[in-house]
Amino acid sequence: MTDNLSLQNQGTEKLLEFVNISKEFPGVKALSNVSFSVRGGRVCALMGENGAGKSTLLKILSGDIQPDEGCVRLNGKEQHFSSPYQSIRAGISVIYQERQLMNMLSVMENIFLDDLHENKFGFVQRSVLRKKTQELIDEFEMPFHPEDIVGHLSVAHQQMVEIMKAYRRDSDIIAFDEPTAPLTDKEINVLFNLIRKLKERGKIVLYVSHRMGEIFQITDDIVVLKDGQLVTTFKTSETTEQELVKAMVGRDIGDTYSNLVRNDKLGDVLLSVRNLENDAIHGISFDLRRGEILGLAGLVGAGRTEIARAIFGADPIKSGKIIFDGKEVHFKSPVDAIASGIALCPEDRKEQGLLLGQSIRTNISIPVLSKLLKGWFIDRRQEAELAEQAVKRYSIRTPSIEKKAGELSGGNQQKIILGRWTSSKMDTKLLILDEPTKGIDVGSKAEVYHIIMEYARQGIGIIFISSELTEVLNISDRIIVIHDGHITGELTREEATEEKVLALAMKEVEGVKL
Amino acid sequence: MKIIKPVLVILGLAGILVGAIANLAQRLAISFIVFGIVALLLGIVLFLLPKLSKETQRRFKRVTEKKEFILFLFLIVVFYVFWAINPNFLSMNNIKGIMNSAFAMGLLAIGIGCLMIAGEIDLSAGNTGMIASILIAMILRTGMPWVPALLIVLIFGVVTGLINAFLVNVMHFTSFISTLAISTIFGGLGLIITQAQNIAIGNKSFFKLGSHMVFGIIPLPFLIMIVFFVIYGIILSYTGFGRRIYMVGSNRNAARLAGINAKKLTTILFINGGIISCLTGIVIAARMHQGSTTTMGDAEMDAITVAVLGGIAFTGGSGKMSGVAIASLLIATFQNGLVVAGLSSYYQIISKGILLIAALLLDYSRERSRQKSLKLH
Repeated sequence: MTDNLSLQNQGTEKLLEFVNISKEFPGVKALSNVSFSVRGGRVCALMGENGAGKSTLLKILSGDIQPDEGCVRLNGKEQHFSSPYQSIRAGISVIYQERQLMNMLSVMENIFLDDLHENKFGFVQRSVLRKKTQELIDEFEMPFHPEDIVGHLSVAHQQMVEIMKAYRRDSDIIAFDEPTAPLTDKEINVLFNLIRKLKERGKIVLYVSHRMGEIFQITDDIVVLKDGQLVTTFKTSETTEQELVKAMVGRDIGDTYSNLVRNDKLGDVLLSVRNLENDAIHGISFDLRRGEILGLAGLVGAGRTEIARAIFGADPIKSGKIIFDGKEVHFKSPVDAIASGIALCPEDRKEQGLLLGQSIRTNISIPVLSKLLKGWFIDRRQEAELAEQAVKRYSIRTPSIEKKAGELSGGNQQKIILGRWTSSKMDTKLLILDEPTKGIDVGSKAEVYHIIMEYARQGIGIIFISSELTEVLNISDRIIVIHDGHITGELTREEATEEKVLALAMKEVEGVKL
Repeated sequence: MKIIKPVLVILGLAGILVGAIANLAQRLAISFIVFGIVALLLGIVLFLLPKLSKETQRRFKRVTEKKEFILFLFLIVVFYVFWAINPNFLSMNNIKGIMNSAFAMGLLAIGIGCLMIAGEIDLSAGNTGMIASILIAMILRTGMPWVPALLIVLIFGVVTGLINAFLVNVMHFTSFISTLAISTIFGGLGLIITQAQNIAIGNKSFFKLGSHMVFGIIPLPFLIMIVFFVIYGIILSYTGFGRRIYMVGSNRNAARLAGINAKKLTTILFINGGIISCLTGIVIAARMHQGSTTTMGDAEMDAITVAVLGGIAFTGGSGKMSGVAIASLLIATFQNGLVVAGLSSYYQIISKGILLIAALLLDYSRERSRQKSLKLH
C-alpha cells in the first residue's frame, strides 16, 4: 500500500530546499548560511536550543520575514516571498508557536479567514463554511461546534483550530512550530495521525519540538541547528537521543538526571494544605517539608495550576486551610503571598508573566523592586546586576539586558520568567514552578534542574508542576497526582513509575471518594 | 428553584385577570396585564425549555445571551417606566423628538463603530460634521442647488478620511491621537471661517432633508439612519468585506499572516467615516437652517458612547449594528424620558454616563459567569 502510494507520488515528488540562508537581527546573527532540503512524504524535525534559529527559519519560509541572503527553492524554483500571502499561495502553511487566532470570532471564520467562500455579491456563504468546518471537526474528532467563539474554547482546542486552519488549505508544505505544547495526550494522538496522513499524501512536513519522545515517534529526518548554523542532519531511525542532544548542545551533557545532586535531609513541615476547595479544586490536602520537591502530575486542565494559584492567593478559596511557615495564612492576593516568601513561576508566560514591551532588566526586577530602592529611587546598577546574573545563569540569548522581552524567542522568554522568580534578591521559602521547562532546550532544562536541586538543598520547599512525565518522576521526591480537581493518589519517588502515574491521572473520581 | 416556574405562571394568570376584571385606572390595568403576560410567557418558556432538543436549547441560549437582546429588553422596560411616570411620553410629538435626537448619535456611531470594530477610532467625526455644516451653508449661499452642494461637501468627507488614513497607515500614528489632532485643527478652522457667527441658509427645499416627515410620521433623518443601519448591518454580518473588518480588529497580525490587506481596509473605513460625518453635519444644517460651529460640539463622544453601549468593544473585533441601533434609541429615549419626567436637562448628561457604566457592568458580569462555566468544564 505504502509502496503503491510512493510510486504514484514519484512523478510529482515535492522538494523543498533552503539555500544558503542568512538572517541578521540587530545584535544577533539568527541564521548563517543554512542549507538543507526536504523531500515530499517525509517529516523533518528542526531541532536546536532556544534561539538556535528554528523559528526564524520558519518565519522566512512563511514570508513573514525576508532573508538577508539565500533563498527558498520549491520544486527547483526559486521563491522570494515578500508577504505571508505569497507563501500561502505557493502552497506553504506555517502553524506558529504563538497562536494567531481571532478570539472574538467563530471557529469557522478563523479556519476560513483567507477564503470566506463569498458568492458573486460578496456575501459569505455561511452554510458552506459551516459544513466544511464540521467535516474538519469530525476528521479531527473535536467536540466543539463551527459557530463556537474561539476565545471560549480551551487552549488545547484553540491550538487544534490553528492546526485545522493550515490543514484545510491542503498545502504542499506544512510546518509545525511546537504544536504539542498546549495539547493533551488525546489531541496529540489526533495530531500524529493527521501528520501520518499528510505524509502518505506526499506532503512535506516540518516539525519543531523540544520533546524527544515526539521526535523519535513521528519524524523521518532531523536537522540540528546551533547558534544559527546547521550542525548536522540525521535519519531519525539511525540516531539516538544521546547523539542528538550532543549535537544540539555541542557537548556531551550525559544523563541529565543522574548528575543531579539531590537534597538528602528534609526539614520540618513548611506548608500544610487542608481540604482546599474552590470552583476548580476539591478537598485538596497535602504537606510539604522544607527542602522537599513535591511533583504535581496530571493531565493538562486537571487542576494542577489551579492548586498553585489558590495557594498563591491568585484565585479565591471557598473553604479549607493553608498553614504556611507555622501560621495559618489567608492571602487576599499574590502580593501577600510574595511578602510571606512564596514565589510562583507561572505557566503562561504571555498572559501571566511577561511584560513583552519592557526590557529584560525590568522584567526580572519586578517582584523585588522594593529591595532595590536607594532612598526614593531604584538602584539601577543593582537592578542591572540582577538581570545580568539571570542572563548568565540561564544562558538567555540576547545582546543586552535592555532588549525587550517580546523580541526574544519563546524559550528565552520562559527563561526570563524563571530568572525573575529565582533571582538572588527573592527571599523565597516556597517556590512553585508551573511548567518551568515548557519550550526550553535540553541544555537549559538541565540548568533548571540544577537550580531546583540547589534550592532544595538550601531548605526551600518546591512544588513542581509539569506535563512531561519523565521530568516529574526524576525531579520530585514525592508525587501527587491530580485528576479533575481531586487528588487521586500519592507516590514516593521510589514507587513512582510512568504507568502508575498515568493510571492515577485518568482515574475516575467516584472511585477515589470511597 | 423548582418552585419558580409554577409561581411565575400563577402570578402571570393572576396579573392578567386582575388587570382585565378589577376596576382599575387604565394605566394600572394595562400594567397588570403586561406584567401578567411577561410572567406567564417566562414561566411557559422555563417549563418547555428542558423538553426541547439540545440544538433548540443551544439556539435559545445563543439568542438570549446576545447583548442586542438584553439591550432590546432594557429599551422596552425604559419605555414602560417613562410611560408609567407620564403617559405623554408616548405621544406622537414626543416619539418624534426621540427619533430626532437619536439621529445624529446613531448615524455618527455607524461610521465610528465600523472603525472601532477594525481596531481604530475617529475622534474627528464631530468636527468634520461641523465643518460640513458650515461648508454646505456657504455653498448654498452662492445659489447652487442643494444636491450638487451636498455632493461637494461629501467629497470633503472623502478627503478628511484620506488624511486620517494617511496619518494612521502611512505615518503609523495611533488613530486615537492623530484623529484627535485633526479634530482640534478642524475645530479651530471652523471658528476662523465663520468668525464664530452662524451662517444662515435660505434654500427652502434643502430644509426638507432635515425635517420632512415620511408618511407624515417618520422624520426623514431618522429614516436615513435606519436605512444606513440596515445596510451596514448586512455588510458587517454577511459579506466577506464585513467579516474581514472583524478579523483585522480582532487580531491584525493574524489577518496579515492570512493575506488580508488591513491598510486598504482601514483606509476604506476612514473614508466611509468621513462621508458619514459630513452627511450628519449636512442633515443637521438642514434641520437648524444654518451652518454653525456649536451644533456638533463633541458629537463623536456621544457616538462612541452609543457604539460601546451597543456592544462594540473599544479594543476592536466585536459588536453589531443592531446593538448600536438599539443603543442610539436607548440613549435618546432615556434623555427624552428624563425631561418628560420633569427632571432638569442636566440630568441627561449624567444619564449617559450611568448607562455606559451599566453596560460595562453587564459585560463584566457576563464575562465572570462565562469564565466560571469554563473552569467547571
